[in-house]
Amino acid sequence: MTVLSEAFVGRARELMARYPQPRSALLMVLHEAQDDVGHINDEVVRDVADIFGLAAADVEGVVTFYTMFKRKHPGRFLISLCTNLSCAVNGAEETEEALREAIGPADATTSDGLCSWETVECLATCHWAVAAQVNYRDVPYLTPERARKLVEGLRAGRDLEQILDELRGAKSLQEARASG
Amino acid sequence: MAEETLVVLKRRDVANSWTLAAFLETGGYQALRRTLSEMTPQQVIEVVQASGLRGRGGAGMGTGLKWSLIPKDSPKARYIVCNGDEGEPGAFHDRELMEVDPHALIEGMLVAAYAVGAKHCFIYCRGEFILAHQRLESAIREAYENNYLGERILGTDFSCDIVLHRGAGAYICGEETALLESLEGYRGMPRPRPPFPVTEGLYARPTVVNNVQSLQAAGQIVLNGADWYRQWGTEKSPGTLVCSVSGAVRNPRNVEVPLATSVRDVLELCGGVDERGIKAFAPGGWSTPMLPPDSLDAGMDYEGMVAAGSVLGASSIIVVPSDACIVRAVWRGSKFYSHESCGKCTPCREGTYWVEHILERIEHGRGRPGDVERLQRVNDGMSGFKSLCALAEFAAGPVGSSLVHFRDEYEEHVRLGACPMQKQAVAS
Repeated sequence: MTVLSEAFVGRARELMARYPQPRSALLMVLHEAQDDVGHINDEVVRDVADIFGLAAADVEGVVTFYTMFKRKHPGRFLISLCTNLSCAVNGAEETEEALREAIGPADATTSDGLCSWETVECLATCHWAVAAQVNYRDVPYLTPERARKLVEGLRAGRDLEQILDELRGAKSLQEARASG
Repeated sequence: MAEETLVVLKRRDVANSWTLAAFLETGGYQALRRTLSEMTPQQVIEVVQASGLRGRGGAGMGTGLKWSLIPKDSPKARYIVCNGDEGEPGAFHDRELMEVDPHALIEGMLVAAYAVGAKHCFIYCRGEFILAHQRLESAIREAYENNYLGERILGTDFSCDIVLHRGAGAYICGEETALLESLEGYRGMPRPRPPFPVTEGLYARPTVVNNVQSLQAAGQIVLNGADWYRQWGTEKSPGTLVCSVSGAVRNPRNVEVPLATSVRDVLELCGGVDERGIKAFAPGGWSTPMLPPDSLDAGMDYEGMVAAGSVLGASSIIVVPSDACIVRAVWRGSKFYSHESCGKCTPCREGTYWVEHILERIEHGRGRPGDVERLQRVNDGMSGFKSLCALAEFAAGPVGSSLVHFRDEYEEHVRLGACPMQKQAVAS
């Protein structure tokens, strides 16, 4: 193991034992590895391949198929903005623009390593359009103004849960727009 | 005024509905008790077949029929897999059903497992669904601690395990054979059929892949009977259906209604179309052919939607507002399909790519003479079930249907060399 710990290997083996065939745990183990390391770099790929007794190329092929596995380290806070249809007809393009202005280009990370943002496909929270997630925690009605407030809050070092609670206070898109 | 009929969503307003205590207080695990103490596996399959319950994942195959296709005399292990990888644009009911009622899903899976002789079940929960995952995890733990899962369930000879699995971001994994590949630890690419999963599914063993809603409904059917379920809906599409409603509506949400309830009534339950008005709607998620407002009286059932020129799909209505540019909306959708195409089959890989590019240039004022016909030709070329799975058909639906109903908008884009609604983006 180069980056993953012995304790991690133990956890991985537990996950593998849950399935009739151990390889089934590959996605679960990759999630765990990403949680520990922050992204899936070449060392993680090699370590995970060793645990499963697979070729690194085989594991890399799996990693690159799934959008949640990041080959580059995202910021401490990853904002995922849905721009699919239900969100698109409710202003997702404007929120996209607001995030671009507040953070920079999509899929890049701010120089302080704090924030990244990406556009994602339907998050199955279309009733909250414009829907988003921060570190996979749901955010409803992300209007441009609320997106700016979210980024300001993160920059000010405020607690993510607290910010999310505030954003979840709005009960409709109209209310979210009215309260800014 | 239509009313909601809460069957699978019946615990929506129950406090802490996801806990075992709340589940038991509201009649939970009675279906499991009844199944294990009073019914043979064959009887379970028969009642689900008699109820006419059809898979809610999109294809609409009879749930009981699917169970009956698991070979009875095979010495091989067999599996139940719940498809909780909801990703269809506009669909958000499975997520709510897993978050609100995880024990009902466990119960439905156990009933299915008993019916087909499975000892091992898997829930493939979409990777982004953190809350659903947490609630399922804790419900499974409670079920093990209270002998609803594990060895000799409720003191009977029936033993069964459920493993909660997490996806990692791939729409294609909602397709059942891609889901099985993913569950085996591979890239989620569809498999050729036949063999179908009921004979060669997970690890090439007989496997039932059912949608969340189908499994939850099956549990209630076993408890209350086929006739009870048939009090709603039609002869061919009985029961209730959860519809996700979003887009240009006042109160977007999930509503559960008898099958064949009209789209108009479903929208009414969501506060109606908002002040922007309606240009079109997709009835079963964006991947189903869009329909014009004069189809609002079509019924939300398998036959009704086909008669109207679309399909029920994932029963997820997206209302496109009057001020939206159809070309831009369809272009946005096309980016989704080309991104999510796994690339295995040529018609889908190439078709989604070229459709996206032609739409992109039409929308941005770079449409060339003949582009509308070209778009039609490429779209027809990729569809028609030439690929291993239906993703290309899904990609073709919005393009083909918008060319039928809004062809003039496309032609205007090409003629003007610009989007006539530019600066309005998709929304106003």
